[in-house]
Amino acid sequence: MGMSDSILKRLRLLSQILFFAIISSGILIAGSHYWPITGDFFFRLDPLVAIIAMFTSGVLISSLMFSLIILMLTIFFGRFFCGWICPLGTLIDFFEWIIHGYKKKEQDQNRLKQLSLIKFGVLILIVAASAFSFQFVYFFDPIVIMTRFMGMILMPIQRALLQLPPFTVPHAVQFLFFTLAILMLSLLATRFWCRVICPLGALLGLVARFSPFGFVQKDCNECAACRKKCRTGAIIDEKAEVTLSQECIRCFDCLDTCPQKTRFFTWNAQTEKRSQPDLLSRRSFLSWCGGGVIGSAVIARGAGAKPVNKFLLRPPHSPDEEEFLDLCVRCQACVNICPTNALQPLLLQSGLYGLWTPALTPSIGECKVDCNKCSTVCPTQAIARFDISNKYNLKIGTAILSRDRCIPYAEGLQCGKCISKCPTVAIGFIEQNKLQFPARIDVQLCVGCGVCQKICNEETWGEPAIVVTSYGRNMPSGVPGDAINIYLEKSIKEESSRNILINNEGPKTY
Amino acid sequence: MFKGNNFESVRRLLTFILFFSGIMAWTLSPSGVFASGSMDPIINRADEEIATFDEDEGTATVDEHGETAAIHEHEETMSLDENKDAASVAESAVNVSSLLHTEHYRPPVYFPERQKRFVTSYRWMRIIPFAVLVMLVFATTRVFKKRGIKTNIQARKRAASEKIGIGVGILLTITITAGVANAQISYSVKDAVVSFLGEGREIYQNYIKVTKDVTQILEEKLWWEPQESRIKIYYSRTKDGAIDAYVFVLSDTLLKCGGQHRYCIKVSSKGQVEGVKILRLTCPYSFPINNERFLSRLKLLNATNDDNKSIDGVTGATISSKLTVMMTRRALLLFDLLKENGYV
Repeated sequence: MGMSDSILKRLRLLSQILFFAIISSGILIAGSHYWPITGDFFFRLDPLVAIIAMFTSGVLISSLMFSLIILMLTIFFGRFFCGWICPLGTLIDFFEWIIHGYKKKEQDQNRLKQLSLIKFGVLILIVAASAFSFQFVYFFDPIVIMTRFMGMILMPIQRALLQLPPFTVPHAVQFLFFTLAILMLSLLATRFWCRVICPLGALLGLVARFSPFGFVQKDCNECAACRKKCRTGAIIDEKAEVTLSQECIRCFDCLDTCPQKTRFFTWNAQTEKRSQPDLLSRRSFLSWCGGGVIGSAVIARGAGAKPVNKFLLRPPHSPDEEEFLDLCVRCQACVNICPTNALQPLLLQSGLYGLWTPALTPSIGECKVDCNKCSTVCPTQAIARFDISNKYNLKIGTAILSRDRCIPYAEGLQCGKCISKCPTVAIGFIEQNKLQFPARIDVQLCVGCGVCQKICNEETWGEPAIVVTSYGRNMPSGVPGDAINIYLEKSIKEESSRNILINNEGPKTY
Repeated sequence: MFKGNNFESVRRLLTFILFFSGIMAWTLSPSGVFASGSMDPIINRADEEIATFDEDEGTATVDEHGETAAIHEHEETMSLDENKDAASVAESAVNVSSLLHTEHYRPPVYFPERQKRFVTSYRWMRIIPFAVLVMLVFATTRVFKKRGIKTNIQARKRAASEKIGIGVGILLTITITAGVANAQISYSVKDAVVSFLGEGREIYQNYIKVTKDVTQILEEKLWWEPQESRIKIYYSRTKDGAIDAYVFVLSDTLLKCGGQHRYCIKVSSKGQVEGVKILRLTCPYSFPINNERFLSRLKLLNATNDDNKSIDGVTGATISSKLTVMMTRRALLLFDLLKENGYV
């Protein structure tokens, strides 16, 4: 029978590696034509993100409905997601393996019994805040954390090693520290994050209480070896008779640890259900709930209010700012997949509520004409899906020109690069003394792609003279509906052409 | 480890899980069955609406009807170009503005039928979180259990989770409210003017007409193209009727920042800056920091220097400070104009 223990452990290891490989490939090989899995794959299995994103925004997100399957499977098999699938759990296991090796140290489970209820409080906090249209699930959700870690930390390393075009995020190191902090918690106890903080684990744990599967002891000599080595502290009593379903992640370490082999995983194991105590007191529940309500109310009305930031450019086809902030789970999948590195996570430029939300940064890169990758990976439709042919139906923003920094005005030298680079010929100019002075930007034709700002940023010494503002965001542009299609057909023949309005005469002159 | 039957059942279950997860992985992948049909954005044409831009915000009008009720109107009109009426002055000011400038404050004409909403939010979904909270009450606590009946585990756990719950709420509240209180103190025009000119005194208001000549001077000296056709000023008088100090309320929408800014600046009859207050600042990169330690650095600067170069000494790296300095320069320039025309 020892063989079966090994089989279970190997299967679990195999499952963890498989799913870790899936999420890694979704981020690191995302965008490749030959690889079908993208960064949003795992989010479809994440019930917490689904629930909170839908609660906060009031939007039914069809793609996230499949996470209900995980909840249904959890009813039967318990928190198998945490032990077999969760990539953050896998990373923590890997970290603990590095620290402790195969021999797991014995733990003082009593010390952590009290703390393990915090995760239910965190779950209540998040749900209570979402009821008031404020979500911060991105701090706690393991899939979001792993997606961010993969994209922000591993991807730049991968690009550097493979000598691919660089991917840089100026303050990405914060995500490294965030993930490292989670891993370091494992020095306190095994799977500390999973057993104490993770709200997804709490949600699955609540559902897992209905699981008919469980552990039973037959002829146990009460050595409690399984209890001491349980990685989530699920075995709560000294005799190891009670295993809490909401804590057990089905790692089956206890079966392997049992020296007498008297512990069994079996159907209809009701013993632990009868003995389960309450999770929280009423007062605790109200405290957490109140914390969520007060926090969300204060942030919504105070510093975290959603300010109108005129220099804040959101990805194309993202809804209005308020809906965008409610829907975006800050997974950075769009940031990772952006081919020009133009999408960057914000800090506090959009208030506290806008923390880590993606913004288009034209000084780094432009929003390419023939690209809709960010919309294909967004798990919550914070960037609505759109076809490339429809991309310029709606504006991202509008460029404005500051003449005091514009080279022809300020230095009397010829530049005019923004005029020639603009894909929609929105920048009109005045020609005097063989100099082209950018003069007027057609508000309807300018879609806010940021090409002008990028090229201007490269040409000017200081701040770019032409900058894109969010003025006109989500308003219909004056670009003809079929322009991109015609351009894409044409550009195959003439690759040098950047002007998508090929039937247009060119930039206006004044 | 397993008894015969149990092991068989578990083995079958594991086979099922692996098989099922394989199917699920294929189904849920972007190239899978599910992805092809229902991943399109939800668009509700019935929710179509025309977005409007508030033009008044951009042009930064200076009327403060509600706030200036207690302030005396003055009959005298200061005009630097008496030959033109107000309408023609305003028209000429617009003409002087560059093509670019006028373009950006003119709302574009859009086609409303092409504007679409991306996502549809349902009101009924707002109720669900509360329902889930009720479910969580039942899932995590025994709501109807009598007080005092506690298990040993619960009795020991209450303290930690409860304290942390309260702690998180308090921490959030203190952190955020403290941040707001320090960073964003805003004044109304009335508050600012009264605090500058003294409570209980008679305060007068008037307008400087932005004529063609004035615009030319402002453009030459500070590259300033006022968007208003007249600039509002407040002042008080001494007992002998002489003007004691001017308070300028200056607004602008700046290309540098994109936000709207409104400052209140007091300049004494000697030409010294005696106070600066930020009334409004919607700059994305900074808060309206009405910090006396910063603003007091602008005090006692004067307009005697032709280019107001002495103000450069207080410029800082932040946009707030740059804007404040720029607005102070403008106030001093206006004061110079008033002085040159004999109004001081």
